[in-house]
Amino acid sequence: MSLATFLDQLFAGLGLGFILFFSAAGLNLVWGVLGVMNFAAGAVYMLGAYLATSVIARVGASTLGWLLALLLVPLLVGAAGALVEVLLLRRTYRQRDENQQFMLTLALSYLIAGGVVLAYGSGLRSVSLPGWLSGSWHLLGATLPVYTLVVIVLGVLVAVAIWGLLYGTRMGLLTRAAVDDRAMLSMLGVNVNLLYTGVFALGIALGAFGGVVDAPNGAVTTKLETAALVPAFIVVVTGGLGNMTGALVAAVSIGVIESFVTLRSPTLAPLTPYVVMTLVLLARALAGQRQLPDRVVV
Amino acid sequence: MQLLGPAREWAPGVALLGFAALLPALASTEYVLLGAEMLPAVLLAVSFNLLFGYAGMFSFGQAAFYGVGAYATALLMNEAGFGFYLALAAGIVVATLLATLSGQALVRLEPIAFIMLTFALADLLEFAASHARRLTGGDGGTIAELPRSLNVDVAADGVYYAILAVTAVVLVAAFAYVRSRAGLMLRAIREDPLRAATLGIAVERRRLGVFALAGALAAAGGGLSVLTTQIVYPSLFAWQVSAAALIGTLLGGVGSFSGPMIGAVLLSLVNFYVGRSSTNTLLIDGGVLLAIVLVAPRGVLSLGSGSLPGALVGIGQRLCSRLKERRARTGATG
Repeated sequence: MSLATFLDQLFAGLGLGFILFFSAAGLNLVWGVLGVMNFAAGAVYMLGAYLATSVIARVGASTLGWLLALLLVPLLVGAAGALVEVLLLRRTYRQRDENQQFMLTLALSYLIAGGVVLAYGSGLRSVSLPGWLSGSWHLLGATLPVYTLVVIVLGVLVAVAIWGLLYGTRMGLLTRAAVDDRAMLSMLGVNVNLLYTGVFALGIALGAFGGVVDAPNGAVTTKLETAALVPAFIVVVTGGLGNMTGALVAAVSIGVIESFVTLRSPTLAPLTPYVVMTLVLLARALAGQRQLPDRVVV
Repeated sequence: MQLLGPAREWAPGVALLGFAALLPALASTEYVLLGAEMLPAVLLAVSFNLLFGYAGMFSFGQAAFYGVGAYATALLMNEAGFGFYLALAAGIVVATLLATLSGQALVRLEPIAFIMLTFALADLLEFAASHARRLTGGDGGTIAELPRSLNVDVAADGVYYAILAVTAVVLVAAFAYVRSRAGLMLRAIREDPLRAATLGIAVERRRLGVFALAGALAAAGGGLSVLTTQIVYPSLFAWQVSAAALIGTLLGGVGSFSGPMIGAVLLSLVNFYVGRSSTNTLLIDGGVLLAIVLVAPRGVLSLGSGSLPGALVGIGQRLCSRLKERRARTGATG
């Protein structure tokens, strides 16, 4: 393999990996703190992508339109997420029934998907980028798309922001405390309800952000839902449920490995996440670890 | 009676099958066809309920075995020249083997990982079905060449009764299982795995057993569906198929044997009537699921004494007590 191909694939793989990371991080955050496995993550991702097409169609494929989509869509979807948490999810915490919560998010995924079909029909849509984002650079013989670099930069920024939030702010401190002992935190006078709403909104917004960022990479269709959900689940399981560092490492490694497999066999490349997950779970079982750790953030 | 258990467990199911047997005499061909399409859905819902309702195992991948049953039946008829019943039986065996093998790892997982990885298994098979083009025909699917002996075109009723007979046999076998000692042990595991293990129940072996049986049931449903659809395609493995089994089960009642049968029929009817006027059944299904999860997470029938009128009364009572609670609360603050 020449250096140029190596760089090409590595770059594409990193871009793929960070897109996986957005949804996985959202899932992890919600699972780690609320103990809810959010099946609607795929639908939220798809909603993000569709809303991005709307914003960009309205404002135009300019820098402004792209930035607006990037900021406005996660905000909007996150706010809707907060509303859902307050109105629906909050009733289910008392029973501590993971299955019930999973079914609730499954119902949400149906409603979101139904809403998207109602609003957009089932044809495909696309997002065009402003000129300066759609070009590519040439480096050591490799062709590196500008947008992939933007995706990587955004991914790093989001990862840093999550760590900063969890370890550098009071909200992060409280969030980690809520993972340990919700009742104690509540007794100490912290508004745990508000904290949960915030965390859920953030998790949903992250998923929608992933959808917006990924939208220009291909056609926006209703197939995005499952296409986003399965790898996100796999990343979360591979990295260890609730483990944010694990999710980042798993997402980026799976992205890069998949990208190199694509070079050899494009048809088999989508199998990469499954293979990596199986190997990691086997290795963990052999090392005598529990297959999945308890709920911990980071 | 000791043998059969409480009537509310089996009576609605028997009534349903009895009505199904009379359907061709009562209704037009359109409804007989609808009935033939519902019966596989009934088997799939019962399969899900065996796991979730009786063993407490939330599988989100029963579509995996449904699809394997359908594909194996169709491909064995096409490629190996098997007759329908032989192909169906072989399909059930293949799915049972797959469930036993994958179950070795799956049944040891904790609940949330079990959900996610059964889901991943079905998705993996969907990928395989759409990519192994030479065998499966890829995304377009494969048309199943049904043996002449079934007279598919001429006697729709014949096909319907074939499906009904197999469904009934499989359901009786499943009912015998849940009434057996093994079924009792499953319920003990569902209530408290640790205590069950202390009592000497081999928890993982029982879980594996019911996982294999549920796989067989789902495969029977999938194999039978080939008779009406006459085509197999990758979306048989889609998670929406597993979700339909879940919604049907919840609609009818978790853990009661007949509940999921009634629920699957109700859901199919709703989708049939909605599907006539619009293609967007997603909103309806999602709304149904949301309502059940919020009002009656153990199923609609759980609200009453096991009957639909009882359930309606139960919903009314529940709403009234909610309202009273709220009034009392606002009265206290205001």
